Amino acid sequence: MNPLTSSQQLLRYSIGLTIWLMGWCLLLFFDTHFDLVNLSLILVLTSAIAALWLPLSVTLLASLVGLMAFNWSFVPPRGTFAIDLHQHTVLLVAMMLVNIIIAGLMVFLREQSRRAQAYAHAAEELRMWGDKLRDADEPGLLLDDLHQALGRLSGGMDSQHPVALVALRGQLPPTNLSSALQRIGSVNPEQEEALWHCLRSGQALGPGTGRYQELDALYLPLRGLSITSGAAMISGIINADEFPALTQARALCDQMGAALERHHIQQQERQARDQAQAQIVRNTLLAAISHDYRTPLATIMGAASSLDQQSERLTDSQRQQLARSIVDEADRLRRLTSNVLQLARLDAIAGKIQGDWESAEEIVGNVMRRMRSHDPQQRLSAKLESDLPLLWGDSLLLSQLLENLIDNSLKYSPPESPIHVSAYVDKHHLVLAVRDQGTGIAAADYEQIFEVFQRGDHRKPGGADGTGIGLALCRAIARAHGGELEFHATATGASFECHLPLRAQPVNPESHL
Amino acid sequence: MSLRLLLVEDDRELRSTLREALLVEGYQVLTAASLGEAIAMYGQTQLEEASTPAFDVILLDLGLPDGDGGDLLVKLRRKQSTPVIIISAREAEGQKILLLDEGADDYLVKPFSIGELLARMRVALRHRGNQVRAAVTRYEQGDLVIDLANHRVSRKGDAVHLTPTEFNLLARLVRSAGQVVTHRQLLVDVWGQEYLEHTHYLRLYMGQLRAKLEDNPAEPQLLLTEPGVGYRLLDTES
Repeated sequence: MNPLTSSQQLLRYSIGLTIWLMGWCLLLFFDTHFDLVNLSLILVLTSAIAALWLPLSVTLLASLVGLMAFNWSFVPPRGTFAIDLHQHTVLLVAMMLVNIIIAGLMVFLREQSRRAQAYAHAAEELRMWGDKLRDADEPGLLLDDLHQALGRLSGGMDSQHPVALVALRGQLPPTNLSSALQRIGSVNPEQEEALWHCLRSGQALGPGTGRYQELDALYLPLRGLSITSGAAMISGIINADEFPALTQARALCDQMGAALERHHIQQQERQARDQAQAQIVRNTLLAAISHDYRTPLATIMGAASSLDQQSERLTDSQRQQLARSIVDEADRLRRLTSNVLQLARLDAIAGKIQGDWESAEEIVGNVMRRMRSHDPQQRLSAKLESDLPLLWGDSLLLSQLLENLIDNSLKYSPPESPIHVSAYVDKHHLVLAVRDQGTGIAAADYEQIFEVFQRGDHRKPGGADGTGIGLALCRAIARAHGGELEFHATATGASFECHLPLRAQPVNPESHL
Repeated sequence: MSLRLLLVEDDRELRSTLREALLVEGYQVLTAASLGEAIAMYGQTQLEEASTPAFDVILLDLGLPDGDGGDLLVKLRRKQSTPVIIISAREAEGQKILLLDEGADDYLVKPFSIGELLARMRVALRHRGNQVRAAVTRYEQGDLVIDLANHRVSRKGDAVHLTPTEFNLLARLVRSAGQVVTHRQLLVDVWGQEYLEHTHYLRLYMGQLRAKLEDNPAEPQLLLTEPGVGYRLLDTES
């Protein structure tokens, strides 16, 4: 960790040498004022202070040179390396020993503090990395960050020390399939092979790991508790005794692996939950559909089997009656089938309809004409505002919506009471409304009818005769058009309103012709 | 001589039910259960040459075991104008429009009633006749009289004033009275090829026509809408 850059090194050397220089200046300055013992203390002090900046070898060398120079300059006889008095020999030897001990202690201390700093930095990096991964919704997006962190560990990401990362996009393929991996950094085929091996075995390879020591780079798995989601290749990280970069790299990779695994498990959980929900909705829908199909089918079966087995005992008018009910009920089945089909289709296209400019007048007119055959007592009447703007939507779906609402009113309002169909503009919406004099469906049932298909509630599969499916489809159609289906119960009756947003109208053809 | 009808339908029940119903109506009915059978019955030479048509009308199902009924329509239309009515369970408008534009006379979505089928067949047969005889130039329905030759439209005896575009649109529908005319056909015939995307023109002009010709535009009796497909002018004989 923290390899000294050359400029930092230069600074340290220059500080150390400056201190030596200043020490010598002091020595020369005090030469005539102090005796030899005091001068020697200045030398020891200089050596100790300089050791704070200089490396061990330079410190020792400087001390030795300093001692020799001291001997030359200050120890009598001056100007020679010879020593007059024995006591001066003791002094010089003691000085040398003290210098060596101090320098050693200083360097050791410095190294200790440097390591402590590096460890603290590494711990901080791990903590921040952990936080970042925990907060990330998509840990896969942080692969770039991991790449950079590993790059710093390997001593800068230059071409001599390449760092590469791979992460599985989905399931582990049975054979090494390049497209199954998301990758950062480039590798040669051999390295690719090693990455796959590391990914499949979930174990680290390379120098310092005890496996495939002869490899020139380190391969670390991105491993969670049970699955390995990727692998990293780091070269140039082998100076393990200087600083345990290997441990740090492993920790970073393990954290990433755990995060990827957690994300994977969360995704699986969500999918399983969605599937279960969809299954419940499907089951409810199927239950509702089969319930709704049974009633008309029972009528058809009864009437048809009666015609088949009792034909000769029936009067002409009875036969006519039976045939008529078969036709009517078959038509009901047709409508029901069409509703179910549209509901499934809207679900499949996720509410994205193919629109065109449509006229509300035509939609109402078409539905009115079709519904007349179900309205022998002439209960239906339609009223349209003049000059209605055009609608953007799917006319078939909107016709089906209106048809379902009218059918609903015909069934659930008192016999012979009138039913009004209208279309009008309300602020920025065009409203298609069906009003009757019935109680409609109790307001409480209304929400339930709609929600039954969304919540997957088994308790009440729709109203009788496919009302549930019909209304659920109406709402789905209204929403697919960016609108909403509303139900209002008033003192005089019930009304279903489909509010559809209006768009800017197309250019009037008169301006072209 | 009774009219010869070819019924191409793979479902046995529906085939025999329709056959019985059509026999009662006096048609001479031949049936085919697959595309291959239908082509064989037609005879390769007759199918691809402009000879006397082997049949007067064809009822054609689309989803056949050995192919799509639409293929037969395309082959047939290269040389012949025998009326073809599609009977299919497919109700997507896209398909309907495609087949109508390819020359089908009508399109009935299953299930349909015999009454509906017979009405559509009558219209189709009458229009086949039109290609031999002079085209329809006069349409009368209730109190409405449309005289294309003299550019006159009257209602309850009073002349109705139509703009040239309104008249052209109405005339196109009169010429195919009783039949669906797709949006595409109307836009091309009345406005021109480059106006294919302008369905809103149709909405506007059809609205104006309904205002002038219908008693209650909210419940039209003459100018009928086929949602997503086109328009149909009520058949004069229904």
